[in-house]
Amino acid sequence: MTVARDPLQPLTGIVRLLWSVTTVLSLTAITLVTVASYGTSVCFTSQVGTELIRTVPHGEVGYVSAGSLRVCLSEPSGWERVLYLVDVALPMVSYAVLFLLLMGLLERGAVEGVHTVATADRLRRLGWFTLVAVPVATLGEAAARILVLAEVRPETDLTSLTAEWDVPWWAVVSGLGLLALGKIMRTSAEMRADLEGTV
Amino acid sequence: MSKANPLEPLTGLASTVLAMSVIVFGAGTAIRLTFGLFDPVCFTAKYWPHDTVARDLAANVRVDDVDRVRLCVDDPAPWHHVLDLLSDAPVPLGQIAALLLLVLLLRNAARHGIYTPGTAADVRRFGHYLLWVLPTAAMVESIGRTTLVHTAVTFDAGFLAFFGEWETPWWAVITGIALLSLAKIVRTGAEMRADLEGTV
Repeated sequence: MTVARDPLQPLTGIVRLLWSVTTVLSLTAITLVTVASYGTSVCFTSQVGTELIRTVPHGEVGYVSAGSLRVCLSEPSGWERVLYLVDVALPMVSYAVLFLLLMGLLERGAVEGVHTVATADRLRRLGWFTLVAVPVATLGEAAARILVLAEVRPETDLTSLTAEWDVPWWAVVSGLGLLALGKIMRTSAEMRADLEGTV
Repeated sequence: MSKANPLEPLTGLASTVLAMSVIVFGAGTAIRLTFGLFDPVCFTAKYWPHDTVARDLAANVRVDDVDRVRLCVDDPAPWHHVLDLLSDAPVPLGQIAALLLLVLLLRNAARHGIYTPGTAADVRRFGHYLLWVLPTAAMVESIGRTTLVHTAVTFDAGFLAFFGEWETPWWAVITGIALLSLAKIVRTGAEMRADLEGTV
């Protein structure tokens, strides 16, 4: 049962680095928005509402329209600052938590063994988090932008939200993959327990 | 051996998504290569140095700057169409191929068993595919997009701007590396199982 080298190794190091980066970025963003940005304006970039802009044509092209809209509020209220915080920090926080869960899974898996019930449980938890929390975080981010945009653009409604929401399909597929992997690990953990019982 | 196929919700979903994407992408490409040849070619410039006029804004709101501008060429030459296809087809195509690899991997694993050398090799191949091919496809798209912009404007749009436009698919890189680890685990499991069978 001696393993020559840790099969999880390149991955654990990368995940630890990504966790540090996302955590530092989240904390910096939250600190800057809540503490340092008082008295300054806040800006949102959205995909919808680009018809508000007319740009001056230039070059050998037929016509020009804007691809995204950047709206700045020069005197934002407290609520608008909260929306700004959600827009800036929520997805990054969800990635930081995702990498934290993954790091815990890999480090405990390297110590306790991969084919254990505990690893299967951690995989299942990570799978549900990826499947549900990451899409919800991006939905929250889009909703924050739409709420700000609704003050500027009266025809903003629920269809704008679906246009603004970038559904992270990778998270849905990876989440289901992790749930399947969790089931496989549970089966092999049970098989291993049976075998040890037999021997 | 096991009551229910543990791969099941995933296999079904991946097959459905694969079928749907093939239909949508195939129809989209077919329309593009026929009726689309008479349409203007449109693309997005990320940098726009000129003034903008905003309207319908409430009091105390101003437009800060326009950082993504959509340009259209009304009478495109054939090479415009080629670059246009190159600027947004490689990533969807790469993703469809990734789904196909995933479905094949899951079907083979369900048929031959998960802890087999064959499954380990499949998982490793899928990991390498995600790690190398999808970022390359994104790079090709970025070069196509920036080339279109470079030929459409008279100001300097920036040499090597395609690196800034490169939307690296990080999920593919991380998932790819994770799959390489998983392949090693599956291989170890397969060897252990072979040893056990030898003992019994």
